[in-house]
Amino acid sequence: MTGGSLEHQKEMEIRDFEARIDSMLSEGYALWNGFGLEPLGDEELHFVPDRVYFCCSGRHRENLAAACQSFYLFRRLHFMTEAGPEQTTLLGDYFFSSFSRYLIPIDSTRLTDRFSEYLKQDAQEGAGGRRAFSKETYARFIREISGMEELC
Amino acid sequence: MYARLQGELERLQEMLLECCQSEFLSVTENLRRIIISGGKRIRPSLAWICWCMGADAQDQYPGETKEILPLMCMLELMHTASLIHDDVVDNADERRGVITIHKISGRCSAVQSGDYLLARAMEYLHIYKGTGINEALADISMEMCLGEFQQMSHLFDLKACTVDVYYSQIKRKTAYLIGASCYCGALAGGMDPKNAEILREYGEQIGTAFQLKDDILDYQSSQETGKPAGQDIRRGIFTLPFLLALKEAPCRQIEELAAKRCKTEEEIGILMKFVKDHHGIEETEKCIRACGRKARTKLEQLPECPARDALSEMAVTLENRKI
Repeated sequence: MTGGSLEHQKEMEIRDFEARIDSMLSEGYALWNGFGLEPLGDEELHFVPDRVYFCCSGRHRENLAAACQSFYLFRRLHFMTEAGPEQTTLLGDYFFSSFSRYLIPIDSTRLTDRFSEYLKQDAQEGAGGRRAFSKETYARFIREISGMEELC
Repeated sequence: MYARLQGELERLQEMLLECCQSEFLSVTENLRRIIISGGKRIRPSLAWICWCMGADAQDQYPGETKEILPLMCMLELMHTASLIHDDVVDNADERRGVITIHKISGRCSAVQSGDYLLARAMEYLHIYKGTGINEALADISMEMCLGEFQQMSHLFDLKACTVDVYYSQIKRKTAYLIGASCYCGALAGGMDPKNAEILREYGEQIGTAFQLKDDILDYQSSQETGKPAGQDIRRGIFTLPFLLALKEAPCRQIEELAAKRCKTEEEIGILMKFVKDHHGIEETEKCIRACGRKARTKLEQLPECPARDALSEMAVTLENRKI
């Protein structure tokens, strides 16, 4: 197989992976669109699953990607409450539930503890006055947890 | 049994207050205020009683017994977080006679404070790994969200809000968590899933009765309940007392009035009088008694014991509560 073919195959694998994660979260995305919030672009939909794809190779990769993407949208929405408190609060809660659903089957105490610590810090800073969710900090967090031994 | 429960609830209160501790004083104070303001602690109480049913009868239920206090704490943290978020969504001024967090610190702070409690609840998940408890709580959390969406999509829409739709909403928003409290408490006490499921069904019946009673209380004066009356109809939420009154006496003018988005105090008064005049309250009370009977019938499938008696009394107490 040539280098170009390998690259094309890799690209197809990533797109397939993204499509599977989109499908796992399709109910949440339909709710997002139904609430008339600004549509999620390709980058917002896939930057988290892509990072998990590249950093994690184990059997939990899909659940981890779905959990991480759900967590991202939960935090993003709960920092957007001024834009529409009803929709953003409720939809954020929905994505927290979605996150829990995909996290629990991974069955990793260390992973759960890492998320709990992250949320504690993020939420209390938000409650204490910070007004934006940091994508960069979260991207770093995903890289760290995706590399955890029990997930590889 | 109640003396033991009281002791556990006191320990629970300490645990909840510890969970409110934060690096930010304003966050700690806001959360402490809502915890101290009270609340009936129904979910943790039910979890504890169901846990006792398993833990006190190891010969009947030889499954592994887990600690119950962390589960009680998780349930109350989840419930409190949902109340804080509900207050933001409803733009409520007060909760349990205390000013709401978003009125003091803004909406974002309030929502994040609720999320902080969820983070604290997550700290206990590892205790219940492999028991089915964590999965049950995650499922219920999702159902509660879907119940809220359902209610939101039906505001002021009398055509959409049938009695069946109403029951579906209250099951999701209220009854399922109360049922899950019983189910999870039983599992933690070493009970097998089949018998724990009976307790879940008991819990869902009394949870339904609890919400029906709440919906009746909204039609009673604030002097009786300590809360302003007519909030549901004001916000376009059609509860069973209203739906049953309309079933008894269909009236186009009342339907049109109910569907109005901005109602005057006089118009709220007309609607509330309509409900009282056409037996909305009495008919709903009948439904509450039916739920209580179904709950007690479920309990008869389990062996007699002090915990079973306590659950039976709990059903009666919730049926007859005035606040």
